[in-house]
Amino acid sequence: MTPHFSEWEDRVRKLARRFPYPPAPDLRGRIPRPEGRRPRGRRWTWVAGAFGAFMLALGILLASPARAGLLEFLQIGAVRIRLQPLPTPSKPAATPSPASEAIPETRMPGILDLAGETTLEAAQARVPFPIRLPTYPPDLGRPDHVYLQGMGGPAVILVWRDPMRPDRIRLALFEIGPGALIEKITPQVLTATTVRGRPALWAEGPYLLQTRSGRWELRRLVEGHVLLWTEGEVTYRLETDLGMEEAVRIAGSLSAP
Amino acid sequence: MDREHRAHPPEGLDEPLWEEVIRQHQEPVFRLLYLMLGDAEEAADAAQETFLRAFRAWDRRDPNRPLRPWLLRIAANLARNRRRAIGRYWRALQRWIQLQRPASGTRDELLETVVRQEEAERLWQAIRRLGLVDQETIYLRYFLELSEAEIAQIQQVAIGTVKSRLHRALHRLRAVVEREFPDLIDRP
Repeated sequence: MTPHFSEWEDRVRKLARRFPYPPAPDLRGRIPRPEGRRPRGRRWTWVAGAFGAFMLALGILLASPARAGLLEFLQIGAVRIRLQPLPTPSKPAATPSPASEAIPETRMPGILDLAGETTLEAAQARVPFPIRLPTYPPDLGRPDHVYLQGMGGPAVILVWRDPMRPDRIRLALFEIGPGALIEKITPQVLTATTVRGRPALWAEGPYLLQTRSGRWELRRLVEGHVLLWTEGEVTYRLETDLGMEEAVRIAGSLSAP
Repeated sequence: MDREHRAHPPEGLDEPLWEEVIRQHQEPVFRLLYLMLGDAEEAADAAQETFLRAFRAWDRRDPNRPLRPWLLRIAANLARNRRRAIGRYWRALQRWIQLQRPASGTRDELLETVVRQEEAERLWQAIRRLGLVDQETIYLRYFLELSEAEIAQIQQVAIGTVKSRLHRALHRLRAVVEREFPDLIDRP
């Protein structure tokens, strides 16, 4: 090792020792203990400390019948979950927003009635985030339908049909970019879970899904269940009639961005 | 999902021992994750996950080997998996720079502290220009001050490989610093 190199190594070592770390959090209260309580049922499986306060509030809300009146809604990424019914449901309107000319918007009486059907490659060229596909179940393959949607921001909806019953949807995955907003109203059951260690919500239907962009809004009945989570600036919404554990497994299998 | 986070008590691990394991190792684990991820909240989150994974894998570790390299290996693997989102580091760095302020001391001491921290911070920026293996090797050797043998355990390579990696990483770092942060070389 040359003197020149050795000097540089000493310099790096000296600078590294001055590095101002933020204080390390005390993790002892956050990690399960050997005698610790096991999670009860499907609730309280949180591991994401950064979301601790949100989790606590959510736990109170989910556990208590007194949730009404505490908060009007919870929000995870682009999806807002109303905890109270809307006072006066209005009829669906179908007037497209002028601001959404670039990407088509549509009423959603059913997923397969969506406008904006395109190919995976064309959709990828139009949205500013990588479209990710589930690698589980292994037989899933590429989606049967790809829709490009404007929901106040770019969104892609991937739909897989049930091979045994082609009229039936096996899986629908919404990948929703920044700026979009979906409102989901009063699910029957709302459960906290995680996807790859990140907070996620599991909502069991049926419930009314409302999508809004400016003055335009639409509603449709969702009969399946929905898993919601975010990664980076993208919100993922997996709609399925499978159970929560299977949905979480599918969510955890999304290909790398 | 529940299955992943249940607190099955591993063999030979009682609560006082587990608390002591966390207490002793949480700081180096957090620091490595902070250096690799560039965000304190995300590092805390990943540190928590590191210990959760360690808890679940406790029975599978080699009890004859020291704990710290084993824990840091789990942490480094986690950090590599989390570092996919481009731009996350820069946003975090900007937030971090805005938050860093010396806590107390005289004016001169404060100024000196600021200068030193800024230098270390710029070195960190230079390191972040390198490849992941170079970064990790530098963090483990010079920031966490681990021995080459410990790094070999973490990276699961021979000690000779660690030496080569260090040598190459420092050369590459020197090139980055000469090009983008030349004042870091000149100051005593």
